[in-house]
Amino acid sequence: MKLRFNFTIMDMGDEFAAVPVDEDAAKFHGMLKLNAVSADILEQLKEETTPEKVHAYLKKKYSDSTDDEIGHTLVNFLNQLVHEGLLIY
Amino acid sequence: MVFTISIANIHIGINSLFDEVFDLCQDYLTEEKPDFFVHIEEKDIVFEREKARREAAYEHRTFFVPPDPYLETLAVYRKIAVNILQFDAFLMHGAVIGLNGSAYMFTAPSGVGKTTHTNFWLQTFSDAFILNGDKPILRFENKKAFACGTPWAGKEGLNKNISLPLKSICILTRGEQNEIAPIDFQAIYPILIGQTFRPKAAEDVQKTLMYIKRLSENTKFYLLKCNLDPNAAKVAFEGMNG
Repeated sequence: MKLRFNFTIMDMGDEFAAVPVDEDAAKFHGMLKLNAVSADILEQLKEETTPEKVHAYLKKKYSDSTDDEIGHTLVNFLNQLVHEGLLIY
Repeated sequence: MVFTISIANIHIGINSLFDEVFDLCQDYLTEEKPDFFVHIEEKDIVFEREKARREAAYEHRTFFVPPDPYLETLAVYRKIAVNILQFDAFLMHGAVIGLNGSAYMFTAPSGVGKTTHTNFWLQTFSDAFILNGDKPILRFENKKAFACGTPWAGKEGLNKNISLPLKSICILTRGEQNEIAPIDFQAIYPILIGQTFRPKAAEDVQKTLMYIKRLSENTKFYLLKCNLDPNAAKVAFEGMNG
C-alpha cells in the first residue's frame, strides 16, 4: 500500500498539516489535519509498505501503547484514507 | 519587453511578451538591479489558459477565453509568487487595509464580502486606504510580518506601493450581527493555507507552510461575523484595537 498523492507534512504547533506537492498539487486541492501519530503513519505511507510494517514502526516509536491501541489507531486512519481515496492498495 | 519592478522591497526583472504587464506595474518600476528575473514564454500563457478553463469547468461557469496579455499578467505573478519564497515572502489571498501605520488583512473565500467590508472601512475612516484588494505579499523582516502592496490587486485593482506592519488577520464570515473575537491560530491555519498561493515543489510548499506558521508568532487573528451594516468596520477596528 502507498499514498496516492505525494504529500509534504509540516508541524503547525498542536497539529500537523499535510499538503500535496508536485504534479499532485493540482489533483488534490485540500489538505489533511493530522495528530502526531497520524502524521507518523502518513510519513510511512510515502513509500510502498504493509500494515504490518507500519504497525511495527509505531510499536517501536510508541512503546508505552499496547498492540491493540496501535492496531485500532492504524486501522481507523487507514480506513479514513481509503474512504477519501488517498490510499492505493 | 524588459523592465524591473520592486515589490515588498524585492527587485524583480520581467521579460514579457506583451505591454500589459508593464502598464500594470507602472507604480512599481525601479532602476535597481533585479534580485531575480521572470521570463515569460508561450507555454506559460497556455498553462494559464488551461488552468482558467479547468476552473470554469469545475465551477460550472461558461468559459470565455481570456486575452493572452491578461493571461500573461497571471503567469508573471505566478512566477513571482514562487521566487519570492526565497526572500521570506509569500502571497496570500485577501484584502489589506492600511490605517494609522498598520495593515489589517481580511481573508475569506470569494463571494463572502471582502470588497464590501473594506469599502465600509474607507467610508468610516477618512485615513484608511486599500493597500491591496486581493493578492498582497506578506514578507517577514526581523520576524515581523509586513503587508506589501503589489500591482496584482483583483478586479478593482486597488493597491498602493508601500509596506506596513501587519497588525492582524481577520477571517471574514457572514453573520446576523456584527461581532468580532480573537481566534487561535490552531483553529484557523487550514483557512490560511487555503487562502495562500500554493507552489508545486515540495521545498516551496514547506517554505510556505513555515511562513504561515511564523505568522502565529507576531500576528493576531480574529474571526469577524458581519452583515451589510457599515458599522461592521467600526466593530472590526475596535475589536482589533481593544
